[in-house]
Amino acid sequence: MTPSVTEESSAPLVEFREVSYAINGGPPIIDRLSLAVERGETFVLLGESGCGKTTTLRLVNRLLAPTSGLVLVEGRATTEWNVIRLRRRTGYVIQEAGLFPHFNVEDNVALVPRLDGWDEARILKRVHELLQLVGLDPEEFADRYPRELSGGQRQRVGVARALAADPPLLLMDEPFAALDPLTRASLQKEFAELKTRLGKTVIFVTHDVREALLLGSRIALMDAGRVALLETPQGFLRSENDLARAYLETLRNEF
Amino acid sequence: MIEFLKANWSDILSHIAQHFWLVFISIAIAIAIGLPLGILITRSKRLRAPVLGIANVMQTIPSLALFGFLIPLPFIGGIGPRTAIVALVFYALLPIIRNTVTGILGVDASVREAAVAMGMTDRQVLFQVELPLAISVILTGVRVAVVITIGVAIIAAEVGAGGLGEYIFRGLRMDDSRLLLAGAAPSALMALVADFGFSLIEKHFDPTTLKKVSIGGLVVSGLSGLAAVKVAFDVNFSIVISQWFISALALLIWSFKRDRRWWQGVAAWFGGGLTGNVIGWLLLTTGSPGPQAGGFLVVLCGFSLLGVVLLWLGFRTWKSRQGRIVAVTTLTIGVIILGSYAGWRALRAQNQVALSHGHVTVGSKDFTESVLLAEIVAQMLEGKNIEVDRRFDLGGNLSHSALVAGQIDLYPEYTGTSFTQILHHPPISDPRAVYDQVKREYAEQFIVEVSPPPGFENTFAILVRGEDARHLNLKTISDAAKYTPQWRTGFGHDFISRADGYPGFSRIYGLNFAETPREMALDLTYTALASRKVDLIAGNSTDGRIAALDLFQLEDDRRYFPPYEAVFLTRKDALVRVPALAEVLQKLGGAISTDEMRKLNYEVDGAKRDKKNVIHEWLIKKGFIN
Repeated sequence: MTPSVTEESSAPLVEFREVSYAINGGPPIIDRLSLAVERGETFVLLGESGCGKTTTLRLVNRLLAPTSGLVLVEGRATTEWNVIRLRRRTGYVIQEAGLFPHFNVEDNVALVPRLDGWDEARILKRVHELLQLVGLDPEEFADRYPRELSGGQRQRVGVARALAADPPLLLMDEPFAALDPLTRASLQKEFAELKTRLGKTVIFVTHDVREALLLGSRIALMDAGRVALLETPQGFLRSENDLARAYLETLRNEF
Repeated sequence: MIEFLKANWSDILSHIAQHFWLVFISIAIAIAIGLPLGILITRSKRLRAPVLGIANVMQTIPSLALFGFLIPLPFIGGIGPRTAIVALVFYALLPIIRNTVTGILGVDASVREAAVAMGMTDRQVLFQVELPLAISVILTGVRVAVVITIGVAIIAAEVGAGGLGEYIFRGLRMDDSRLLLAGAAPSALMALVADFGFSLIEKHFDPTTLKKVSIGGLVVSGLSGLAAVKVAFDVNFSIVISQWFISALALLIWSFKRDRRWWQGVAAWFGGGLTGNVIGWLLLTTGSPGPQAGGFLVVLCGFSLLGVVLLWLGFRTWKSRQGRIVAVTTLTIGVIILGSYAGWRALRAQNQVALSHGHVTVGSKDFTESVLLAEIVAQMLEGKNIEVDRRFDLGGNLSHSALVAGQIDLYPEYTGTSFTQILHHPPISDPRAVYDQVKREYAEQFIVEVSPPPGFENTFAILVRGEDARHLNLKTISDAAKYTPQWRTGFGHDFISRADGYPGFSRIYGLNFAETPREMALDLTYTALASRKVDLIAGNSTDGRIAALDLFQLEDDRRYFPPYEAVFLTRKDALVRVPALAEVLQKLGGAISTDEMRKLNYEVDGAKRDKKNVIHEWLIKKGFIN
């Protein structure tokens, strides 16, 4: 791994400039969106399903390309990046984990380093390191296949896979949403620790306001393809915005 | 039945091998075409409907019609295995393409999304994710294709491609259930075994237990599949290729195994190679046995050595640079061994051609008399040290198209048939005039020489059961007219449709029948008559079964049927190329009487003796060969 030359620059790692996205001239899913994600922060996109938060995430690693406007990663438009290089520098974790069922845990985690042509010894060392990092014993889990894991374990492997090549940016699309409440709570707590330890920039999509408050350094509340409110967790709690209040209401009603 | 098997087991084995080979090559080609095509249309939605549509339509074309359509085409057409393989590939394509598409599109969307988002290239997504996860669905498609192909390959006998269909058609023609069984039982068994075998492999390929695909294995079997195409035209390579292919297949299966060990791979390679060897050996020795052992040894050693080295060094250390170098080197050495072996064979084949006095391809139509006449010429030519290729049993008008297209050099025909069926003249009754006009027009239109007639006539013979003839005192067709309203009839396709057949016949004699005549295979009408399913048929006057089944030929008292003389139709370029051919045909002029022909037919159809032996004895008796 060559250290990134832009690491020290003060420019935002990811920036949206007047970005719109629509499918085949239909109504815009993302509507003139502008935002900037600073290095090292955990930027949460919060909103109902259909508000455009996942689409926003997919615009970052160019799974989608904007209809108009610019998405900049490390100061360069995603459309000008070599897309394969861009994606290998961007960790990606999704709700179903998306592990390869025909690869064992070790091979799943080793995916990107192998694609990047690391030598085997280094890959093996890295895989063991990462499995320990996400709380899985390499001796026990390296040879298992995804179907032999629980939902929480699969999600841990998914995180390890995303971190494997040490990308500066991590994209997470409701990674803990499908887990049972206890597992979810413990993974959220562990991840909160992990991200402060690693100092990665994270863009995190969720519809769970509790998760947003717990993990986010800033929260962008999205509605109809636009950012309705952009606040720190403390600011979010004090906000007079109607939608934010409605979200906070759900917290108070929990017993 | 046991005696029949004892006497014919090597022949049956060779037909099974031929059948297997036809299916094998066709499936290999169908995979080589269908798999990439299937992958392509998962990428392009626009192409999907048309490609699947065309593949669908191809499968609905009746096989015989497809063969008929293919024969006149250059390169892919003609007669023999090549045409059959083209048709079989058409039939095998649909299930392979369809299952490739279904399998790939069925891969879990979140898995594919993750693969793309991790920065895999299109090719990496395809080979490392989509294909390994789709492989069991694709294999199901291959399984269906194999079973279909085993069945359709029966029809291949109609275009002279050999295989088990030969037994089935021969069995139908001669009404011999042993022959029918010899064709049907092995093909049914083959289909069952293939079905079962593939279901085992599919289980083995359960995607959740897979490790990575060995792309090497895929490439190797793909290449072998292509190389196998070559074999379709050159049987001498069959041993090399079948060994190579089966080894690669075994290796591929091994590479999917979880917890694989390298020695298992070696075992797979050896086992596959040995199986391939046996198959190749069967194929080679069935035609003409010869000293092939040396060749086997070279190939076996070369490939086994290559396989071991490749596996042990190449596969295990493919990821390292040295591993790659070793693997490529061993592969190169293998190619050199293969190349020199091929060169050696080609050289030897060339020498053999130089030694012989030419090469003639003899064809025949698909009934006993035609085959016997062709066999007479074939054996006489072989007596003069000329290589003969036998392309017998060509159905319908295939023999004519094959002759014109240069696929065969000669075949026996009847002047009346040429006159009405090929040249489309209305029937006339003067045999001399028919012969002269046919000779002239064939020379002009097709550059084909009509031989001097061997001397017997064969015309339609209106047949009834001998006991009916005696009981009702029938002598002529006119005598039978008053009984026909109570009779049922069955006629061959030919007789029903041709100008000098049924329509004119029933009009001239004023015949009515209890039912509309049944149109059926000519050979089956004899059986139907003897077993009282019908009461009157139109057979051939020289047919041995007339005596064998105690049938009676009614006299054509109104002289309706024109006399048909048997002749040999020969391409002029073949006569120039092989001067001995003209000698043989000259010698046969006037040499076979109607009685002799009927006896020969009887020996084969009635006494069920082997054609080659019957002809051999007759030729010796006549002093035509020593």
